[in-house]
Amino acid sequence: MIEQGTKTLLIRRGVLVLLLLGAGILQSCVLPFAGGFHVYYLLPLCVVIAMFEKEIPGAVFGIVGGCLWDLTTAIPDGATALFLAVIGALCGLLTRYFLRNNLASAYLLSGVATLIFSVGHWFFFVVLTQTPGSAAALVKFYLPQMLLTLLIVPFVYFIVRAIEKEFRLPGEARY
Amino acid sequence: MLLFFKSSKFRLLLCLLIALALGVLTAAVTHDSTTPLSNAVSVVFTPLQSVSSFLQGKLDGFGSHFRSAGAYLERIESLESQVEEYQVQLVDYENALRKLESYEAFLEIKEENTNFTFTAASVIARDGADVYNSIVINKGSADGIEVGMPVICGNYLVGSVRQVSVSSSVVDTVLNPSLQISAYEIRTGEEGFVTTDTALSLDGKCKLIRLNDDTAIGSGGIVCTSGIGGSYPRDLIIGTVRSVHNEAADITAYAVLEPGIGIANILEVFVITSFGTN
Repeated sequence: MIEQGTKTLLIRRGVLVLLLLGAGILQSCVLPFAGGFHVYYLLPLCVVIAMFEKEIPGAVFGIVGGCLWDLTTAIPDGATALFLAVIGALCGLLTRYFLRNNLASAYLLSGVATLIFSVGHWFFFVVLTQTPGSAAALVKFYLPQMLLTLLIVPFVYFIVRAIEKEFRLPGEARY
Repeated sequence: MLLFFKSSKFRLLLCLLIALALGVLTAAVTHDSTTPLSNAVSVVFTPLQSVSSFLQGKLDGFGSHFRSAGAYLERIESLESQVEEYQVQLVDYENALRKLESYEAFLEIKEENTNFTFTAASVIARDGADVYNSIVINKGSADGIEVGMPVICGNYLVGSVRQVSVSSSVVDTVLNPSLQISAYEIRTGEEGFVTTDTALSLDGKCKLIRLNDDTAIGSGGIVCTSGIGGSYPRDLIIGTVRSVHNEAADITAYAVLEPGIGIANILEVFVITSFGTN
């Protein structure tokens, strides 16, 4: 017989995985979001989940999200999963020891994660191709996508917070 | 009570009652059942009654408009449902037409190249982080897809398979600088390589490089695969020449191409799983 606390935890994490799946589908959607740009739904979602679930589950959720992302990229399999696992663990740790778990922190951490991801992607997959137009790619492609991604941070934060509140374990922090 | 009777209110009331009594008496004397008061009042109130009557008529009309609006609403709903039905039929028709066009082109290429074998695939995802528009198709190694296989849409080259998993594959499009496709321009026969750079890729264009600086290629020329190197079959259309420029770094020229199909909008493709010589 599963204890009530374990059951609640399993349901909560199951819901979060479903949320990641939905975000993965939405992100790789054939049709772009606006003006031909895509939104990185998985990035802020992994960050926010890690903020609530803390470092170890955060890293695991990062791996799940990264694997979903890797399905649709031509970059080596697992690279995004690794990146998101590190981001998840770091966000979990920072939220446990240094930062309050609120929207401002979610913006800060998602912003930094998106910046690192975009600049890293641009450097490895655009700059290193050594073709003209690298700077234009950063300004015309990566920057708008970063900004669009930051726009969805509040929605992601409040959705995850609602899930965490709904399936809160006894003794867990209130949000 | 005594105070009331001594008050001006009582006097006023009394005056009114007397005036009414006088009016009744006058009416009785004149036999037309009107009184100067009622006439005077009517002078004032007739225009107001006209306005009232006019408004009444309008309000009645408004009511009938409402009743008509109800009927119109029903009619509109009926027509809207018809329009919706026709729109669904139109969407089905457009989808069927698109598929038919795709298969017609496919049949044409199949008839011209009987030795080709194809696998039909749908575009199921795009890598949003990829500036070069790579796409994901729903066929993988289980369907015989291998890395490097050419991907087409009708007669047009889309790109080549870059990464294969069991049930899906990632395709690099002609907008990816990592692709180098041997190609020729059909009118002049001049050969070169089709590739792109980040700046052109952002504009959805690629280029035919290694042309002589006195190239005869002009705007509107069609560029096809030449088949040299064996990576791609011959005569797949890559795109149309939009402009010709001299390279800054050497003495060659290049032609800027617009791909024959909108890479960002393709939904159905064919993977050429084998192509021998005819």
